Amino acid sequence: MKQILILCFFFLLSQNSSFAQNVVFSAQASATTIGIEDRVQVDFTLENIEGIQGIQNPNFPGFKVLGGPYESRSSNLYLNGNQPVRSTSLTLSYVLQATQIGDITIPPLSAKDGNGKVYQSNALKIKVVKGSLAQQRRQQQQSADPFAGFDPFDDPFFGGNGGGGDPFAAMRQQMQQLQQQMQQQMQQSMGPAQNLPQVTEKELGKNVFIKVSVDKTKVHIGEQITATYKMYARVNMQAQLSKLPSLNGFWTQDFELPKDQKPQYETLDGVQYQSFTLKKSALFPQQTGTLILDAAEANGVAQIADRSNPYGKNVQFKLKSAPVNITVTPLPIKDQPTDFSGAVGSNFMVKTKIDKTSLSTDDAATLTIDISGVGNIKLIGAPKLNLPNGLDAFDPVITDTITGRSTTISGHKIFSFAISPSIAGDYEIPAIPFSYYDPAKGSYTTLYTTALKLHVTQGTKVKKEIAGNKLLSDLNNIDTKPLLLQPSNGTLLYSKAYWSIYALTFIALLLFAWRKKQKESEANNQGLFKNKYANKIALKRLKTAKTFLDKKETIPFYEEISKAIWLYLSDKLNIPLSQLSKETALESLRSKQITEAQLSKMYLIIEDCAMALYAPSGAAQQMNSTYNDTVQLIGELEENLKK
Amino acid sequence: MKQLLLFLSFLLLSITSMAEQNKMPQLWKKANDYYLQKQYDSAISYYHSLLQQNPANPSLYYNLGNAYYRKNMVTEAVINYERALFFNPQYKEAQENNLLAKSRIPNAIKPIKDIFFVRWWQTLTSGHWANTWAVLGILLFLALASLIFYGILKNRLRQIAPQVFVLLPIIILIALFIAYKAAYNKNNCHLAVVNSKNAVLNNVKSTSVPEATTVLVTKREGNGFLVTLPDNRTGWMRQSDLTFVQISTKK
Repeated sequence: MKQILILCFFFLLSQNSSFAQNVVFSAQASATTIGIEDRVQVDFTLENIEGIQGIQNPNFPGFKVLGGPYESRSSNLYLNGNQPVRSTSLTLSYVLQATQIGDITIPPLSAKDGNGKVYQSNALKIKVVKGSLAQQRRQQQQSADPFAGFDPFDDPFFGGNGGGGDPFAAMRQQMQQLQQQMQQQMQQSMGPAQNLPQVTEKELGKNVFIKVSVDKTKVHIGEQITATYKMYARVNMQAQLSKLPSLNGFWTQDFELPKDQKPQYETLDGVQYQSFTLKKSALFPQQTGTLILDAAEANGVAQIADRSNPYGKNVQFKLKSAPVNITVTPLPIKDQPTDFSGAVGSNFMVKTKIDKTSLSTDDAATLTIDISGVGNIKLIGAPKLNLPNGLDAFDPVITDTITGRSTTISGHKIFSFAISPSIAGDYEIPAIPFSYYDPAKGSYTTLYTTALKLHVTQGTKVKKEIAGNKLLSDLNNIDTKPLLLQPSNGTLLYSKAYWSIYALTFIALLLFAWRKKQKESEANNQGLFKNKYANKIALKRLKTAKTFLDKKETIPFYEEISKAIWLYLSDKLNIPLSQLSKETALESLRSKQITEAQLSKMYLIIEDCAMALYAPSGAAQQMNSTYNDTVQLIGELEENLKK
Repeated sequence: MKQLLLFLSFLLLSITSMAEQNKMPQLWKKANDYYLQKQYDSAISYYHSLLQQNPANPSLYYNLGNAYYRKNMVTEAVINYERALFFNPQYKEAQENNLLAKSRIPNAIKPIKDIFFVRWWQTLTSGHWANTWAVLGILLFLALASLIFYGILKNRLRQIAPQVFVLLPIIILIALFIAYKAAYNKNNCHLAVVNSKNAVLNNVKSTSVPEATTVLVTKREGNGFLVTLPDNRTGWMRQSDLTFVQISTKK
């Protein structure tokens, strides 16, 4: 189908041919007897109706439409005697399913052509029976063929139609019908053969063939070759191109063929043929080595003489052109200009244009380089601009136009560069060289454009390339200081030493606090101990004092009394004896809220002791009262200091 | 005896490594000379061989970026500038050249400036400051420790304002948190550079991303990366379209 479509486009050139053609408008069904569960395909084929204006929408009484219309067009060209004849065909396909049992008639369809003439198709009769015929057929097939049940193309559109398990049967059938029709038409139009060439089937190859001719087979890369695909024939035949050459490795530009192409008469090796140009192209090889112009292929039917049939007989044939080898050599490297960008051809011209010569840094100018000439226009690479610093060019926009395609390919290639200045100033864009290789001369030619001047003023907009307050115009230079071996300095946070400082400090602090606490509590304990036993020691001393009192020994008595008091105070107040004096003791006692009366009593006792020790007067009465007072005082103090 | 052997082997090791290092200044000079003579291809190959022994040197990446820029290989230049900046975020020349290289990207995506405090945060947590924060943290901690030490020693702990014992630890924790972030940034780089002309950002619809754009990668799933463009658009990109600034995942 694709090939037919290609053909259709290919032969559109000759669409104005106005030869009389047989008009056909037919309706066909894929089966004439179907089951009610089966699907049937109905095709309406319109052939050779010029400029179809409208086709009536078909109605199918007794059927429901499952799919369609599917439209397919084809176009065909064949030689009828000496005339090329074009035929067109349009097929509308519907997939239907019956809704009732019995004989159903599909009414004829009408269509109107460009001249207002109305054509009508035939009516179709379809017999609908119970159940599914397709399934029955398939089951029969299945019993014979174990694989039939696994039909991979079991498609709803084709699964049920007359062809049984074969999904393409309908299509094939349709094609065959068309072919038969065409053959009939051919025979009718040709009438009895009068002068059929006396050729046999074996000699057909000499009488119909496709030939490729090229103007040269050895070229440089990029050099033009003109290739012509022609069909030669000495017999009545019709043919379709089934494969166009793909021409890999070439850039191809087709030449225009005359619209109304008449067959030419050409003599090859003394034999006259009709020739018909299928394709004429300019080829530009893009790679070196041996490139092959691959074959064009065609299928067709030829009419040759046959003794038993006055109309001759139709023989199918396949045509294939012989491939042609092209040797492509590289361009000479010697003297190749550095700016060469692949242009091969002749008569090249280069022009530059700039749309403005004065602009601001906010603006952009467009520099256009127009290369015109004859050759591989499409394959020319962009020329290099050597812009001064401060001007920037973006990738060019490239347009190429082919203006002439008679025997050579000529045209323009236009490169548009947008140039944006970044710094104000006066610039000169130097002349741009453009080189091409001229195969006729066998040498390179370099053309130069004229240099352009550009005046740039400072714009108002701040450019984004400003870093800090510095306008960046060019790179900062490289770092040439001696290379520091940077053992990628570690991350402190990830090092064990760092965290061990925290840990050690913390532990040290804890230890220190604990030690301090312990010391304190030790000292405290000692004080507490003394405090606790102060009373007992004092009482012990008082006991000894009592014995001295009984013996009336004055000095030892007072010694004991004063010792009892001082030691008691020292222990109770937690003041070492060396630091203890009347004043410190009084102060300390005051802070512990001892009443003044007690204090004065204590003061008196201490005075008495001192007096008695240093000036003994020795009254037993006084000793007695001192003793009593001391016992009372210690008792009272004990009471108060306990709190 | 054992110690002597150890010492000898250590000496041997240091001599060999020194011999290798001794070659480096020559290579470096050679590469730079090539660069100055505008033989950028040779310079690039020398820089690359230096990189094998010195994979974390910002100057090396910077010079390599310059060589690529001179060769008009903007994408390679940007990748190397980004690498230089990863190892030294304060590299002024690299920053400027990176900007210049990026200005050469056709149809470049205009970066959107972050809000001021986001920028502050980015500066504070830049890998450059990682060790500074760590040192600050430890100094504050030592200060606190010595204060406590003094207080205990002199029995004056009660006399120090209690706010100090609340505020100082909070400040220390903040400093350590920033130090942690910065250390992470120092060792990890989630930037990648688009290396393909046909790179596409897939979001609700696909948009093309110009070559040499620097993107931030936030997530990986199979061969896809969730990235943020300079204009804060997000979407998925293919792994093959990205070159990561960080060469190996972990140093």
